[in-house]
Amino acid sequence: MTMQWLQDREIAIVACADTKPVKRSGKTALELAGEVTDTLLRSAGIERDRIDGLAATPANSEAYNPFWTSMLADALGLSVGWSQVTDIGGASIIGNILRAGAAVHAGLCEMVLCIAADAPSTQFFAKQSGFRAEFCDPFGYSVLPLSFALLTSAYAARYGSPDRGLARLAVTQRNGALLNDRACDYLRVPLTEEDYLASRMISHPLRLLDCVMRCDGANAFLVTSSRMAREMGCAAPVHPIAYRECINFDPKNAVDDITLTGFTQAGPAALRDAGLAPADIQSFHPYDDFYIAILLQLEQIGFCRRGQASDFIREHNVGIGGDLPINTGGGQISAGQPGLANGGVNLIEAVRQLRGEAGPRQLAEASNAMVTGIGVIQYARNWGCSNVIILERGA
Amino acid sequence: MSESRTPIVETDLTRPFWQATKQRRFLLQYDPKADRYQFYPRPISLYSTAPLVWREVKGEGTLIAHTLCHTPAPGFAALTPYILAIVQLAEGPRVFARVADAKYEELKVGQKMRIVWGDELGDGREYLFAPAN
Repeated sequence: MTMQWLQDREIAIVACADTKPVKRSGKTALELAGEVTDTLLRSAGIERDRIDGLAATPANSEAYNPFWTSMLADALGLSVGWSQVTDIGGASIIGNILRAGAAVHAGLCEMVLCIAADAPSTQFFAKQSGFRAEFCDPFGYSVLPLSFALLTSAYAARYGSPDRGLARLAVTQRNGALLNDRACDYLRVPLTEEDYLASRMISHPLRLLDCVMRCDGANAFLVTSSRMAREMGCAAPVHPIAYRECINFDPKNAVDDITLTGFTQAGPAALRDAGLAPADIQSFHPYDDFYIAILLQLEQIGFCRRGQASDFIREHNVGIGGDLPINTGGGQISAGQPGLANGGVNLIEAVRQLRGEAGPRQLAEASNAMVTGIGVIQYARNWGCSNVIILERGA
Repeated sequence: MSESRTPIVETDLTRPFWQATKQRRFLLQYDPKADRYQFYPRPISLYSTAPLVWREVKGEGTLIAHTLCHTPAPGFAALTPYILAIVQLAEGPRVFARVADAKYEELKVGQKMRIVWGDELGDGREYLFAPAN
């Protein structure tokens, strides 16, 4: 497998936009999609008729609609030659950047709107079927945190409690959100490690402050060829230079450790493609529905050895100005998770860092960044989808 | 009134499994060509193109992970907090279910568990885990 066109810097993200996450906004996903598209078009300075590709994520709040990209295109006044919905959960948005790039590379379209909008705290219609309905829900499966509690249990049995590293992460990300006026206001209050450790158990050993808070919001990215970016006079293109994904890790139960995920494959492969070592990554924007997921990613992508992530976090500065800044804008846990616009929260922060638009959070060294995604929990094991994108600031 | 438990909706594929639970028998799908078991029930073997058969197993296994859930599923409010676990059966597949007859603090990953049958949820079709000793 090779994606040389990424390493050739053939593709560019030329604009990005988001709405501020709000709990129970009362809006629909289409309204939020309209707001974010309007902001995107203004900031990019392009006519909407230049957009000829559309990549979306589904919306929990509109889950009954099987014609989602047509509905979106019509609401937004777009007519395109290529569209798709990507259904790999929190991996969908960086997955869409890659799919949009591939469509441009293949000549299907030239200018792709990658959009995610969801209002799950206003209305929620998504329903998981199959094993989840038949072999989980009737047996006491209630909320997603319990799956991550089970992973934490398996991890702690192998390596010891990761509490101290989790507490440090919680404070670090909250400090980022305090400097990020695009983070959900509800979450922008100072936090200490003691606050984290004292927060109530949702599903032991997982605490309330381990978990994302679901809210409403949208984000959007414009993906085109680097040639087109130059023609447009784009001042700050961001190139995806490597991407790997693993959908449905270990279906045959060959791996004797449920804490292992597709990041063991996708992480090292993406770094190899980019010609980078973990220590070369200037900021890391891991998908964070629960903090334990960041620990697993640090180890499995290769930033540290197995079982060492909690120590790694405490021995390094993972905040702004540190040697490996993590989720500088607060991540989803401290900025809010706008439903299936989830994966865009950390992506837009990485793009803003690379474009030099991160304001008080701006990193001194921001020429590359790694962003990841996670999707779905499979039966009695780990999350199914893992993906990694490495971004580079263009000239 | 608390909500009632999410009903088990059988399919043609899973009916033999659910029928067996009425006699408190736990079945796995078995691929005789690959000599591998699988659970939950799938439409095809994960391991070869051989037709699957159902086999009853004793339900003995090892605790892989456990959690004390304070956020009940519909129908489980009266049992809250309750323990949920992943157990790897001796035959290979992992199973997710509630734990009976145990204190959360006393359970240890790696200990031996066995499947037992519960009546707390009404229709008796709940398989649970209990410590093997």
